[in-house]
Amino acid sequence: MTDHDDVLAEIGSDLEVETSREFVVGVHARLRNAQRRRRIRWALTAAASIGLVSFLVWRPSSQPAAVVASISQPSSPVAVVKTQPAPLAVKALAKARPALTSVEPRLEVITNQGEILRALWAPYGSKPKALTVVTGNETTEEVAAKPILIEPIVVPTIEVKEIGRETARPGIGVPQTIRRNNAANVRETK
Amino acid sequence: MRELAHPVPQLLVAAVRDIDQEFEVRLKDSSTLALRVAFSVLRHQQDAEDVAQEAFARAYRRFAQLRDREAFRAWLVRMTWRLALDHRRGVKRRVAREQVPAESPAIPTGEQLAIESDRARRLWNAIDRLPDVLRLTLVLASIHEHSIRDVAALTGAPEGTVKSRVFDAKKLLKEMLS
Repeated sequence: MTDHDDVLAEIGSDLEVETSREFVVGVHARLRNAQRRRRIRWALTAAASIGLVSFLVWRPSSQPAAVVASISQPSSPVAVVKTQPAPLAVKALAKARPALTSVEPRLEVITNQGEILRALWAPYGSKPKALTVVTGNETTEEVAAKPILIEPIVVPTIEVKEIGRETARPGIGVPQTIRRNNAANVRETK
Repeated sequence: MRELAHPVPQLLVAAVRDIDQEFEVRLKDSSTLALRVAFSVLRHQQDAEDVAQEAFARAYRRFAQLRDREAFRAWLVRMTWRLALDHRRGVKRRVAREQVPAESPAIPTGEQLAIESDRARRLWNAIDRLPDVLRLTLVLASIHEHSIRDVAALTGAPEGTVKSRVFDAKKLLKEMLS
């Protein structure tokens, strides 16, 4: 046997250790612990997944919030009136209008529109009056559901008269009797 | 259509039982090998057993790919070696943290003290200084029942390479011990 073989033999003899009786038991215990840990991890993962899916399926609908947000966007007509410099009448209209809180459209009636238009076309310096806006609580559906009342058309009676015998309207032209008298007077002077 | 002799759950249970039985056979067959590989690094019986047990626990998880005996033993040797080195590094770090000067990573018991005579201590210190590849090859070759072919199968290297590695390792050891 050479020196090299002696070294191997020496190392081999130093490594002659045997497993204890508890070795196999220890391996089984480790396997059981690993399986338990794996089960707990799976259970936690499954619970988290179920929770996430439940949240996604049953979360409250975000539809109303989206509508309100779209109304408050600057691109809507109401917002444009508020942000751009507007005539006084429009400002007054915006002031008179209550704040928009609900999505439901409302019915607004301007009662003195004619007066306001005249004031707008009046010479410079005259004060325009404010619009009187009557805001109804009725919704468009309610208005649409109301029956339309049609008032009967009243036709005035027509008087048939001969041409030239119509009665003289007061203050316009000369009465026929006076014209005839004037003609007689002209003939006598001739 | 051909009916199955056993319903699917029974087949699964039978398959799992087969795997468990096979694993038990491998456990009895290779436990000494794993322990000796770990002991060659740690030189502490209890620590080596812990590391070998951990290697078997990890092997069980991958046992479907390791059902071939040789593949299992090779994988087990590599895993045990790596775990033992990690364990030893961990012990070294802990010892350094506690600022206790220690030449050996593990606290030797009475049995180890008897084994580690002066010459043996010098020998193992020299083995520890060998490169990892040479060290593992030398340890595997020195375990009694292993031939060069066995070591080649365990390390995945050709037999010629194993021979040259053993030769280089012994040469280096001789230089260190002289």
